[in-house]
Amino acid sequence: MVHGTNCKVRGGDMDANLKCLDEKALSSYLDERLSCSERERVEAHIADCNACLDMLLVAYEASGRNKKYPALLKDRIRNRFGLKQAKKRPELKWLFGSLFFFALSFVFKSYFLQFLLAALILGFKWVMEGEAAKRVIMIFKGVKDQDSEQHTGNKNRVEKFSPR
Amino acid sequence: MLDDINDLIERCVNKEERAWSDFINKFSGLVYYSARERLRRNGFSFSEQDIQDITQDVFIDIWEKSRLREVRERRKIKAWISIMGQTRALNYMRKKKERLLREEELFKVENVISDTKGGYGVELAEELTKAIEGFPAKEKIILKLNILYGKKHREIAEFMNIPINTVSTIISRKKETLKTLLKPN
Repeated sequence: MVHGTNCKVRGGDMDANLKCLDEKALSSYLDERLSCSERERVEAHIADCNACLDMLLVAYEASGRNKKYPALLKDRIRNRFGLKQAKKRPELKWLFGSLFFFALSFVFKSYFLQFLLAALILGFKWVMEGEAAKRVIMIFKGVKDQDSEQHTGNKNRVEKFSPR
Repeated sequence: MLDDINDLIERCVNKEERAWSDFINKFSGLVYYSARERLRRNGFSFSEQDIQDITQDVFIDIWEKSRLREVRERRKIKAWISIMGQTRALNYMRKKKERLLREEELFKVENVISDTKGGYGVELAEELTKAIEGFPAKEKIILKLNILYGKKHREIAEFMNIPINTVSTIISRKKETLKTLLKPN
């Protein structure tokens, strides 16, 4: 059971002459998966090896609670594995808002026009924030940029060949 | 809940993408905390980038070497993952130090190890270790956890999987002995 790396490798210089426990042996101790004799052997080791005792203690503390970590880290690891993220559709809230106000306009007939206007505004927001609308806007922008580039290109050419 | 973890790991072993994503979601915090805590306690200087690299390396290792197949008691995987995070953290810093030494960037090597030492006073640790040398292993662990790490009786009992009464009895009995042993001359 007692095998693995030397304590010195683990960064500290204490207990340098002891052979440390490996990952399996250490985690088995906390998981209560060891027989009495194995448990005694692990305890005999960690009683004198501060590095292993400390490692077990961190594992014990870490297991007890949900640990916070930077939100970006999760995405970073996911990207490393090429995992897709669940698609979020934030623009849908505008659609539901629009439908909600549209329904309200029929419930409160005296405010029909006001609710209808609100429904139209939210509907417009939904259309403009949707992927399709964004793509159309990008295409228009691209065409416009190309036109202006062509225009300046022609102008330069004309200037180049015009007699001085 | 426990069956959920069992099922999640089973699906990860079968390399299901969605399960793997959930696995990362569930355990990145644990690895992140364990790696950071290990480096802090061992007196290393580290950056946020180092901890993120280590956390990523742990998951790559689990995925590429199919390490989850080795796990026997799947419901109790947290301890294994945490210890893995800690050992990878130490290996990472060792490699970083070696790399900097190879590149002869000595001023950077000095930055790898900081002045801060572990979570307890070195002098107290040395004195206590000497005083409890002849004690049985169980008692040594209990006293170290209580005196050096400031753990409560309940926590020690949980950690060692023994009744809390045993812990309390040993601590009260041995503390008296220690008082006489550690009395300044």
